[in-house]
Amino acid sequence: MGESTGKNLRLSEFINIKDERTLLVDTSIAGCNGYIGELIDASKIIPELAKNCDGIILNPGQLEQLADILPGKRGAAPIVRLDWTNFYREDDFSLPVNKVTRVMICRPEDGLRLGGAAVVMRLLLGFDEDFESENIADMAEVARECSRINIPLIIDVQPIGPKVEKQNKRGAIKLGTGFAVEGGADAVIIPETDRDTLDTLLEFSSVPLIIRTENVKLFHINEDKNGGSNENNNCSNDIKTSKQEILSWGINGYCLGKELYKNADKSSVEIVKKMNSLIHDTDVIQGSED
Amino acid sequence: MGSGKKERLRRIFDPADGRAVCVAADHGWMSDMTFNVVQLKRITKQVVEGGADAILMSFGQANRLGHLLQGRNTPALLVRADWMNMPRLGGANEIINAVPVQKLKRVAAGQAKDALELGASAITIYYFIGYSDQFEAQNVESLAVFARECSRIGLPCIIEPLAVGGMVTGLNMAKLLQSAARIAVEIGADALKIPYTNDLESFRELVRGCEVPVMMLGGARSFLERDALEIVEEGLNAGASGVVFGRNVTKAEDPADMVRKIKMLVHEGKSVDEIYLGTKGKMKLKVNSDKCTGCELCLLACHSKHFNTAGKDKAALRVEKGDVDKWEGENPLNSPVVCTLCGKCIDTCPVDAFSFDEETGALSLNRELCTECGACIKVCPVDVLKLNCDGLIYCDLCGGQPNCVKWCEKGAIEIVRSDS
Repeated sequence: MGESTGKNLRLSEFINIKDERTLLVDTSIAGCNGYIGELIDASKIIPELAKNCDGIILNPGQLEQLADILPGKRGAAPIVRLDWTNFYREDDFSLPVNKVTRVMICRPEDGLRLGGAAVVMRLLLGFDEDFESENIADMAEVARECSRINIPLIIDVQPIGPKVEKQNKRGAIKLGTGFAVEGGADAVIIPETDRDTLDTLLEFSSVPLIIRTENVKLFHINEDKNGGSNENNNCSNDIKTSKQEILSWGINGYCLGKELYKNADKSSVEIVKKMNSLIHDTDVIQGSED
Repeated sequence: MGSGKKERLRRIFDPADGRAVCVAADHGWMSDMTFNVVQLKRITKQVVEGGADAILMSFGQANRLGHLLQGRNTPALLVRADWMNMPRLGGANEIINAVPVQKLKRVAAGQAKDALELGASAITIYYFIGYSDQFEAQNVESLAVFARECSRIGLPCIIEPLAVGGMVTGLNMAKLLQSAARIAVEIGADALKIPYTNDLESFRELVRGCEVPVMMLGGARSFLERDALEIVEEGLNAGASGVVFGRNVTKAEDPADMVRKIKMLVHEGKSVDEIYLGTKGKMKLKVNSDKCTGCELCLLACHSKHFNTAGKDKAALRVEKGDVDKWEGENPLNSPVVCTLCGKCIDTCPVDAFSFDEETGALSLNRELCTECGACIKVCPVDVLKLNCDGLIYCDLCGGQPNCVKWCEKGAIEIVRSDS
């Protein structure tokens, strides 16, 4: 009964034991949509990203390919993505999505064998009952296997189905987090939400809570080419202040996903560096002393 | 039954009486994040403090909160080994059911061996009857897999039959539950967790047809704590071996106190009246004016208890309605006025018809002696004696179980005993 040494040791590979915070970078979108943006050069960009965050989410095939060039203990711990979905395919994808699907592509045991510090899978909410119950069944089965082999399970709660709209999104986030924790998750990734919802989740959850943020564009450029500030700085600092404030409420960090790679300016590594220093309190917010 | 199952069942059902008080704390696994889900750790501590025999949790919470159950005299761990979406069927509102569903689903959440490894004394799984033939067949197939595994590893399998769906009506509900209970036993249940059939006879028949311990559910949270306990009392009288209470404990103001009360019913054989009114010592009524809403339910309770009719005019107490113009405090508007047992009526009665009851300390009237002269009415300082065609009306404390106390949900009238 209680958490195992194996799980705790592995969790500490990507959740800093000093500040209990983490920055995860999710590259697994390429397994769903093919490469996007900067992810086209996987062997070039992923090791660079991994040098500047705590955990890097990879599909099993990519982890196997990149194992030799990942930074090891000097960088992010690999976290293995167990599932696949076609949900993220948008209008610019070569084929239309007629039906949203989600399947398992690997087992926790495979994740352990690949050297993963944890495994991660999605809990997609807001779809029909069959879809949801299959997702729950998969999650429960994976959670039991993770307990048997002592690898942490991260559940990536995504209330993105047609049943979730603006007015019930907060409730759906709470429902999904409840399912995840009661189901056996060792950490939960949730979407950005309001203070009240986060307070409830923090009171409820006995596992690390990590926020998936797609709002990264304001981290892009807060310096002009000569190192001086530009007109975006105030806005950028607002976002940074907001993210730091949310961290101070008690969440354990952020997870950056597909929006990170979409930028034409190839700035993902810089964004990750800035986010990393913000999360681990090494960043000084410009103008914050005024 | 193998020794593993026997030993584990004895951790749930007290070997002294074969009964159990279990608390279900698995709601967060299947429904919205209500406060009892959010504060499960605190509530679990209180359930342990109250002395429940077992507590039901999801795999995830069992893993995290299981340490609270360490020790010999702590609740046994029951693990919910499946998941379903029934609480979310139907519409949504702003408070609950954020993502409603229209189709009932149930899936396994693990294997029995996972629960055994966690230190569980049993698993609990659902058996839905009445939704559709195919759904029931799938459910039975899954139950059978769990039951066979439980037999192999010596872990008790508690099946929870639920009659849900378009084929279930008020007319066939009890029969369906009786059938489902027996089917569950035939498949391999070592104990049942089942809703009350809502009448004593049908539940008695259900229990008789099972021959395994039957625990009745507490169901949705009752408006009054007492109502929930009265159902338990009825179920126990029908042969239930205990209860599995969920929201009536986890949402209670004081979960530990609620567990203690249920234990009094289940293990100590007390009645609900005895729990609330006590059993020892001479008694009198005490008024808590600040709790009185002026609803006059106490008058109805008194009248109906003594005359078997609805009304308030023959009550042996009254409610003084406050003067709004003189209102200064929080709630000084109303106050029940009850017999204070001052004894002036006894002293005044010219024929010695009044006396104090030796056992309860209440007033006792010998009607054969009473001439209905009205002398007692004149001296009563609180004006609660009345004379009408039925004779003299006075407070006899309902023979030791005052109905006004029982009915007043606010606690505006309570019992004090000379030995307390």
